[in-house]
Amino acid sequence: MTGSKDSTEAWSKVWLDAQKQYMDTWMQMSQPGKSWPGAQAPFGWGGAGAWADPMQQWTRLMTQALPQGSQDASTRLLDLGKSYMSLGETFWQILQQGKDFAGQETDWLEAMKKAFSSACGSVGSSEQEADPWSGFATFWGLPMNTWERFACSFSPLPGALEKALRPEGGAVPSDMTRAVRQMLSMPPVGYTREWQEQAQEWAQLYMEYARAMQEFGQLLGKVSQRAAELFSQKLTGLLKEGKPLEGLRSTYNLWIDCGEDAYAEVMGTPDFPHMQAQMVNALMRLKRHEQAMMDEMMTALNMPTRRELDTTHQRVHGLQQQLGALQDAMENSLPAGQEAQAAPRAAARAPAKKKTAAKPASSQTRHRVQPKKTRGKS
Amino acid sequence: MMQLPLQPDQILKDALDFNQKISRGMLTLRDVGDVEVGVTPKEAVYREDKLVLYRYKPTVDKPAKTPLLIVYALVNRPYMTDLQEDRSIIRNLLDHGEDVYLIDWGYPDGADRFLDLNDYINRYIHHCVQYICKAHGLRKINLLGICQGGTFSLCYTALHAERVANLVTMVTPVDFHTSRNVLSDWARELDVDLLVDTVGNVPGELLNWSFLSLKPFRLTGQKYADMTDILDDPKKLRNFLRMEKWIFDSPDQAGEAFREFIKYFYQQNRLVTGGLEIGGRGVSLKQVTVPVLNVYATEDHLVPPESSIALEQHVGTRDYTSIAFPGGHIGIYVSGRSQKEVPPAIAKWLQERSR
Repeated sequence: MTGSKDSTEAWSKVWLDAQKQYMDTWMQMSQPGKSWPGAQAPFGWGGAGAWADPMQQWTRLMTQALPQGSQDASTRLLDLGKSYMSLGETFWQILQQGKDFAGQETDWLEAMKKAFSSACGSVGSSEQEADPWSGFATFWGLPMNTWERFACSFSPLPGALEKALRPEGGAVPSDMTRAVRQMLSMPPVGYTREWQEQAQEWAQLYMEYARAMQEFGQLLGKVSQRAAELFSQKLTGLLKEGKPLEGLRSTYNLWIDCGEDAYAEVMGTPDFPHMQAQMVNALMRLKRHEQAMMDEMMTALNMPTRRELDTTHQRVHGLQQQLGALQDAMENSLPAGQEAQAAPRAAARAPAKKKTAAKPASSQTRHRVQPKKTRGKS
Repeated sequence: MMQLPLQPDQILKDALDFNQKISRGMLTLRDVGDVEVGVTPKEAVYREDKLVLYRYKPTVDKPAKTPLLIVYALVNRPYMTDLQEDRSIIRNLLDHGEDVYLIDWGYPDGADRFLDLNDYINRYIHHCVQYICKAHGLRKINLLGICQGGTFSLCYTALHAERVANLVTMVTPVDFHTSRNVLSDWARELDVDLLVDTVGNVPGELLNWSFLSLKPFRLTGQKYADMTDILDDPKKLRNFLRMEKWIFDSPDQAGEAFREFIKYFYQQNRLVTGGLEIGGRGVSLKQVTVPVLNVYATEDHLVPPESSIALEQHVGTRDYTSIAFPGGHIGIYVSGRSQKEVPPAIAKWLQERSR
């Protein structure tokens, strides 16, 4: 273990040195008189990654060496690190450009605003082409990203496959969408018509979900655009007041404030809960249909289905409630003074803990665990 | 020369510092190990299905004669009330002389999908209360309901008034249709029948997504930026990790109970507007005639204070007290100020009514 620990620490030192060298190189390039070879920087506007990627590689390795309790937090920390570096990189580029405006403050501010808007995504793309995974979802977060992970977590389609199918479902021109819909509306025929019909309905439901998600994504896209506007406004205000930012962290905090303000504005509109609910409802309609299809397949294989399990659980639950009602009736019929004894008596009839562990989870067990003295310091 | 808001080389320097903090922090994360939660000694005294009733070991020679049963929400885990030694409502209540019990609902699975509000309120809570009454030779005990558990406790008290001596509600939603109730707004158009029919038990992940979506920039971004400032302090880091564990330790919600709670409370607001029935019996806040202490948080973004304050207008009791805690929904459990103010106030209020 010690060897492993030493090895990790040695590796960490090597990493830190490499990072320092890496960032020193960037530092040199930001000195007056230095410029990037070629017409542009080695990354495009919004092409975050040059700062964050090396760290991602290292931390991916490091995370594996962490105890389970720390892994989740470290993963989120690393996600944050990536976002933070992306912000730093974007802002660094904007500031570098500022040097070229040589005193023309208005021009620089305008360029800054455009750069931020561009980095926030979906600028210049039509509504129909807007991609719910772009812009707000990938540039420093967040809700769509979390939703995507959640939706994929209980989908038979892995996330990557779902994305691969997007051209057929979500971010497609409306003419093509209409054409696909017409194809899906063709009446099925022949021996397999029932299955064809189900598959067509699945595709229709999938497209509805993709559209609902796209609409919600577009709404969230407004958040990033508004956040960029607010950020530019606040930065301009600070400049006019002669109050420079203290560093990357204060820049990041300012961005977070603007993001939350923008999000609160959009969240306060009636569209937000409506579109969010539409997205969740559409996903549920799709999943419901998938379950029905899956149940049919399982039935064909003579395997138990979800529907059958639900029926069984429902019956067990009904029996449990009937039993409870009988117990209550019995206790209520006892003479005064014996009532309080009834619960422990019922408990005494219940199997001991070890036995109940082997029983079906839904069975009713009601028992004391350790009858000890009940009052006073024990 | 135009002044830039920040020099580019400062950005680079900060970025390097940040990377170094994370790199060094990874070593601290490796060394802190798994974090412990639920620190106060307790024993399991009663079990039913997945429910476990705990009794905490009293810390005074003569604890209160009437025990206090804590009813926590189904969302997240009840160890938030006993997160660590210096942040434990339970520990504080014990130190102030209370005899504390707590219901741990457990983690429902597919077999619990049909558990409904009748099961939770008229069966589980009722059986726990019966057990405690029997164990102490009492006819009634004190209840402390937290968040959704507070709503359950109100319903329980309305239905079983003879079993409750005093009721304390903490950050409890009562009127679900007040302004600024974001969760309620989100739930209005949700097809909860379709949701439950489809997923059965509602995944904790879905609830996490909803809560994170309330303040996505702060909760999924800035919080972790702040975490980098404590990465070299194992004690603070452990505190952070405990909270992190609690936030993402979200049990699935039993389908039928979720359906009823969303429909009756969030969508139809029946606790206030009337028509609420649980287990075939009508529930009205007017039936709550025992003394009530209502503790709410003024900055609560999950249960807006207006939603809790509404209790005063609707409850039947003539002995109603409220405490406004200046903090948020989480701070009321764990902040230093809360530890100093909230449990002592609850204990004092209870003791005044037990003389």
